Amino acid sequence: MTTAELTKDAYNTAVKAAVDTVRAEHPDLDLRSGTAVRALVIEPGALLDATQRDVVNRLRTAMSLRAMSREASVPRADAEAVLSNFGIELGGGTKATGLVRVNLTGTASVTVRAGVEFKTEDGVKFVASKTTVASVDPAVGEEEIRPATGGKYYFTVPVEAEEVGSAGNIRQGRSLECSIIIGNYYSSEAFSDFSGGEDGESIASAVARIPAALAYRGMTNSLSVRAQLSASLADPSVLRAVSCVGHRERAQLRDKHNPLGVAVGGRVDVYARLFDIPGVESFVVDGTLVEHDSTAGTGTYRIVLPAYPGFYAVRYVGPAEDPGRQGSFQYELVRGMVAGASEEHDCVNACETAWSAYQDGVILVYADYDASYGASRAFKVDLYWTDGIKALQELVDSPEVRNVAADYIVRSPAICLVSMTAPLRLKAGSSATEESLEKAVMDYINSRSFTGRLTRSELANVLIQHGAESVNMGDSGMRLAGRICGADGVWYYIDGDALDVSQIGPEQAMISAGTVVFAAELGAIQVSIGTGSSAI
Amino acid sequence: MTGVTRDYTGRQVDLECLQTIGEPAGVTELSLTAVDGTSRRVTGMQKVIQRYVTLLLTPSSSVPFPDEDDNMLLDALRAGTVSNMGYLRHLFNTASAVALDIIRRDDYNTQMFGDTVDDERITSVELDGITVDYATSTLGLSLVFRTAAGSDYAYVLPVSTSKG
Repeated sequence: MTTAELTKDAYNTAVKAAVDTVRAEHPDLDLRSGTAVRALVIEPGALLDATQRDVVNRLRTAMSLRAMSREASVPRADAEAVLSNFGIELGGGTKATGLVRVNLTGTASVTVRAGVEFKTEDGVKFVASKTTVASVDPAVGEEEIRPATGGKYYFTVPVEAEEVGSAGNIRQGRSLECSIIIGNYYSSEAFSDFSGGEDGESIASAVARIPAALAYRGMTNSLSVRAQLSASLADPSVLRAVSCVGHRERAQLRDKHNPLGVAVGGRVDVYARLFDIPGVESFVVDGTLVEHDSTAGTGTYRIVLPAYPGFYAVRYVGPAEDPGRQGSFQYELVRGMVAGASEEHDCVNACETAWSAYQDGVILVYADYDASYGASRAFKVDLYWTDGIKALQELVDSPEVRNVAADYIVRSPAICLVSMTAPLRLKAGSSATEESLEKAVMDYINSRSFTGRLTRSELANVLIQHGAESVNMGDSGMRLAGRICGADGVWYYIDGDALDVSQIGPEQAMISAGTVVFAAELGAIQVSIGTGSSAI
Repeated sequence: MTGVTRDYTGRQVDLECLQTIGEPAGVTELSLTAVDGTSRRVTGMQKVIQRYVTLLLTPSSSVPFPDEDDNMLLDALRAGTVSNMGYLRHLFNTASAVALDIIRRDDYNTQMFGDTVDDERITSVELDGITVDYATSTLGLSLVFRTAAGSDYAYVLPVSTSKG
C-alpha cells in the first residue's frame, strides 16, 4: 500500500476528519489550505489516516467471504490467503499454446529467441517457448521459411500464453504484434487456433466450497461425510453422489441389533456413487462341480468370487469360451462376509455386508454338464464393480477420521438398472438422431444422485430438450422399467409411469431412496424416431 | 505591524513562518526574511500572506493530488525554463490564480474552518515588479495584496531559484 494508491475522496475525507478533530479542541487554530499548522499537522496526519483506513478496508474486504465472491473486488492472492485457512486451494488453470506465423518479405535466415513476446491488439501476451532458427534450407531442428502468396514468406514459432486462462485461446489468423525487430518482418498472426488455455477456478466457486471444507472436519452429517470422502480422492470429481443412511432409516439394519430390535443409532451406512455408467469387471474363473444330473445333462457349479470389494451384483455368467456372451447360464449369487466384519462393524449376516468391502460371495451356476468337463469348469463372469469402496472404507476407519461416536460402513449403491423405449417425433429442422437422443437420456439418468424416483415425464422432457417435438406417452408409447439386486441377492423388478425405489422388498434387501441410484447401460435406452401418428 | 491599532482577540492563528509584514500608507515595499527559528503565533494579514505564499510556492510534485491545484511556478524557475519576464508573469498569474482559488474555497467553507474576517480575505494580488539578484540566485517578486476590508499590502517575495 502506498499513498499513490489513495483516492482523492479518501484523502479529502481524512482531511476533513482531521480538521474537525483539531478544531474541536483548538478552535483558534487556522487550518485552511496554506497555513503552517495544516501543512505540519493536518495534511501528514490525513495522509497517514487515509492510508491506514484504506489498508483496513482492503483487509476487511479481503477477509470477507461475501466480498470474495465478488471476484473483481478482491485480488486473487488475497483470496488464496484466506481460502488457505479452510484448506482450500484455488484451481490453477492452464496456459494456451499455439504457433505464431511470422510473415516475411524476404528469405534471409531469421532467429527468434525463446522469450520473445507476441501480443494481440487487446494485450493478450504470448512468449516464444523455444528459440527458433528459420531458413529456406533448414538444418535439423530448424524451421523452414516457406513461400506464401503475394511474394511473401513465412515460418512458425511455438508460443505459450504468458498468463493462464481461456483468453489465450485465440483463433487462427488473429493478428499479433512482435516485440522485437525481425529481419524482413512483415506481420505475424496465429497460424492455427490456439488451445489449452483454461481459466483458473473462480473465487466464487472456491468460496462455495467453504461449507464443505468446514464440514469435513467432523463426520457428523451427509455434507461432512461427502467432503471428507472427496478430500481423500486424487480426483474428487469421481465421487458423483453420496448418501448416508443412519438412525431410524429402513435400510439401516445394523442399529437394530438389540433384543427389542429397535433402532438405537450409532450406525451409518455411506453409499458412494463412483461411476456414471456402472463399471463392469469381466474375468474367467473356475467353478467347482457341486452336483450333477448325468441324465438331464445339467450340473451345479460353485464359483468363489475373487476379491472385488464393494461389488454390486453379477451381470453375466457364461461359458469361458463364449466371446459373444450368447450362452448365459442361470446363476444365484450368495453373498458372504469376510472375517472381521462382525467384530469391526457389527455385521451379523451377509446382507449387512452387501456392497461393502466386507462382502464376499459365491455364485452357484446352473449349467449344462458333460462328464468330459471333470470336477471343475471355467466360466466367464461379468460383475458390476467400480473400484474405490475399499479405499474409502480404509479412510473412514483411519484413526484421524474415524468418528468416535458412530460406526461407518462405506458401500457401493444399489443400482436400479433402467431400460426405456420411446417412440417420438422430431422438431422440424432438428438434427437430433436416435443415437444422440439415447445418449442424452442415458447421460441424464447416469447423472442422478440418490433421488429415489425416476419418472417418464422427466425423461420425456430430456428428449424434448434435445430435439424431440413430442414423445408418445400413450399405451403404445414410452416404456420405463428397472431392476435392482437387493442385499439379499434377489433381483427386484419395477416399471410404470415412475420408478419409485423407496419401498421395495423386505428390509433385508436394503432398498430405499437412500441406497439406490439409477443408471442406464448402453443399449438399455432405445428411441425410435417416427413420422406418423404412432410416434405422437 | 506598524501603525496598527487593531484588536486581534479571538482571531484564528497560525505558526509564524515569515517575519513581520508592515502595513503601509499607500503602497510601500517591504523586505522580508525567513523566520529565525523562534516559533510565534501569527494572525491577521500576516497570516494570510503567509498562506498565499505557501500555496504559491508549493511545487505540484509535492502535493498528494495535484490535478486541481497544479502550480508550475517553482518547478519552472528551478528547472531553468523561464526564458523571459513575460513568461514569468504568465507563470505567476497562473500560479496566483490557483492559490487564490484555494484560499477562497477555504474562506467560504465557514462550516469547516469558521468565519473569515474581511481584513483576512484577499480579493486580489498583483505582481508589481520583479527583481533578480544574480549573486544569490534570488528572484524578488513585488506583490500587492488587497483585502475585502479595502487595505493594500506590499510584500517582496524572495524566491531562490537554486535547486537546493
